Amino acid sequence: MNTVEFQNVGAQYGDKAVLSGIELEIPANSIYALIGPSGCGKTTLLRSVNRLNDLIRGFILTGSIMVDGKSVYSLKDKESVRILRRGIGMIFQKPNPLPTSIMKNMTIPYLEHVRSSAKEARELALERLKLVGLYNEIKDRLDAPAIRLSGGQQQRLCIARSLMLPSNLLLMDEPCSALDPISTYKIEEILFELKKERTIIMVTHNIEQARRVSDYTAFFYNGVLVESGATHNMFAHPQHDYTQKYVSGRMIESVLQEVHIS
Amino acid sequence: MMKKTKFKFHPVECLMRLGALAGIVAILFIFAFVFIKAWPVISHNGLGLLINRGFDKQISEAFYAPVSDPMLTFGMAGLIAGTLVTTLIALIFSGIISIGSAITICEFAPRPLASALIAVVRLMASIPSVVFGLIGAMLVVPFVDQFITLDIEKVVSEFYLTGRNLLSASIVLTFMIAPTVITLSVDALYSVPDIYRETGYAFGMTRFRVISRILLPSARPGIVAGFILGAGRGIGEAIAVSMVCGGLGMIPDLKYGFISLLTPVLPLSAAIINKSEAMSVPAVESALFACGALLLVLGTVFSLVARFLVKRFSSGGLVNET
Ligand SMILES: Nc1ncnc2c1ncn2[C@@H]1O[C@H](COP(=O)(O)OP(=O)(O)OP(=O)(O)O)[C@@H](O)[C@H]1O
Ligand SMILES: [Mg+2]
Repeated sequence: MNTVEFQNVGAQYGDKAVLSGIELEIPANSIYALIGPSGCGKTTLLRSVNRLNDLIRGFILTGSIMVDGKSVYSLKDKESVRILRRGIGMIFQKPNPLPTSIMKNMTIPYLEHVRSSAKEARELALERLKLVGLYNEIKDRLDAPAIRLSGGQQQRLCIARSLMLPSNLLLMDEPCSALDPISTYKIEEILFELKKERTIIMVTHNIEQARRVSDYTAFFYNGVLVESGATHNMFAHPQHDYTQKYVSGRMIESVLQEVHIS
Repeated sequence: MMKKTKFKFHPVECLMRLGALAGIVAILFIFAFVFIKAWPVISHNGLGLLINRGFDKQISEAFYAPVSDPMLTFGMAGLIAGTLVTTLIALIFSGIISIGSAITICEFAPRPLASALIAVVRLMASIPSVVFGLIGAMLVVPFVDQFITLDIEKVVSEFYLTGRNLLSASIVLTFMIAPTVITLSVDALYSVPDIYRETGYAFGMTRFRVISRILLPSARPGIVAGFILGAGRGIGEAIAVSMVCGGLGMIPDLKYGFISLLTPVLPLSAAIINKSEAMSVPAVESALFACGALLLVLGTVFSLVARFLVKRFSSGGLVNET
């Protein structure tokens, strides 16, 4: 299954509303790109899916988010939330390897939740590293500190790590924003591979990337969903003026004009 | 280009260099002075100084020895053992207290309470040691005294046991070391980037597991630094310890288990204070300077080992290298 459904979702930090009336359906086995100008609430929406926003004091979510038909915010006890999180992989904007070895990074989350031997964990880790194409680059320094990898390698390590638990849903928050074009390309290749068995929701500021890799795109502006649908459709025939401007890069022009006038 | 800067006069830089130089000279001077003063005793005993016991008796013998025939034979094994064992036990106690407190402050206490607790801990770190000694003598010694029964006295029957002993010294030292360890651990925990916490929670780890598997390992270099500073204070602390240690330079006999904690000790630093009344006799003076010399050596060895340990701990990649 691995579907996600946002039903009339609103979100606020304290008194400050940052999202309202979001209606969006994420079909299984697709890559869904969330785009929109900075501060429009994409990260907030993404981090609501695995309830990571619970850590922020004052965060309130209204409406409901359904993962595989089950309402995420109706989960009452902490253990159910933890089980939910285990099933969802999360990739952050900044690569977030833990300050330990490459191999430990891979095995820590796995051994945390799966009863298994260190050897099994290691084997699975190698398999996942191969999947993201990192294995050949690092096979002789698996016990070196993960922090010594390049940014692109670190991000691929984090992707591999998120695949250690059986997660069918991946949340990616600008996974390539800190990377060079080649690392970006490598990660996009991985996304195509992962899509076969998983659903991916990806925030991106790179409109070209959204066009290249996503099946669907949703465009947000100021906390509301302006438009969503199949990517090729939306880029070819944007329904809204804003969308049209944003995907063609002309929103920047209008911002510049505003700045100029004021 | 190079030449120009080389000959240019930078007053601030000169001042800083002078300061650094003065620091080095002062340290060398202290070492030289202490070792010269201690030399009669060190040269007379050689390595025996480190191996032999009986310091208490030797001091009184030296005090009553005729001026024409000074008594220079001393053995400080008991004092060294006293220093090491009290510090070690205090480190273990304060380790348990401090890491627990630091976690409570950083992860569980609400912000206002946390800052209040930190303020209290910082204040504790600045209390003069004689106050710790006084409180130790008034509260800890009677408390520890309760544990001493006739049966225990029979086991170590040579003398009368009081509440002034290894356990009291370690407890008092614990409360002197803990604030330092807590402060540095709190700083280390606070400086663990939030993203590490989020990483753990995103993997569905419980709060307890996030703390034990992610936060503590990430904060380890800072916590180790706290222990090193604490141990330095433990080795050097004199006044407070001298007030509660019992003043007898015995080597705690670990085969008695808990009872061995109830025997008096006399760490090197406390010995200098305890026996300073007899300093008018040159031999005693030299012996006390020898204690000082041993403390200096111990401190130096310790800080070298500590540096090595810190390197070892961090080379596993457990430090954020950025
Ligand atoms: N912890 C927080 N506390 C208060 N306000 C927040 C918090 N996090 C985000 N916000 C606010 O919520 C709004 C949406 O933020 P969000 O991070 O979701 O935007 P975004 O679309 O991801 O932006 P960007 O593209 O720059 O990452 C912003 O106005 C931001 O200032
Ligand atoms: Mg964002």
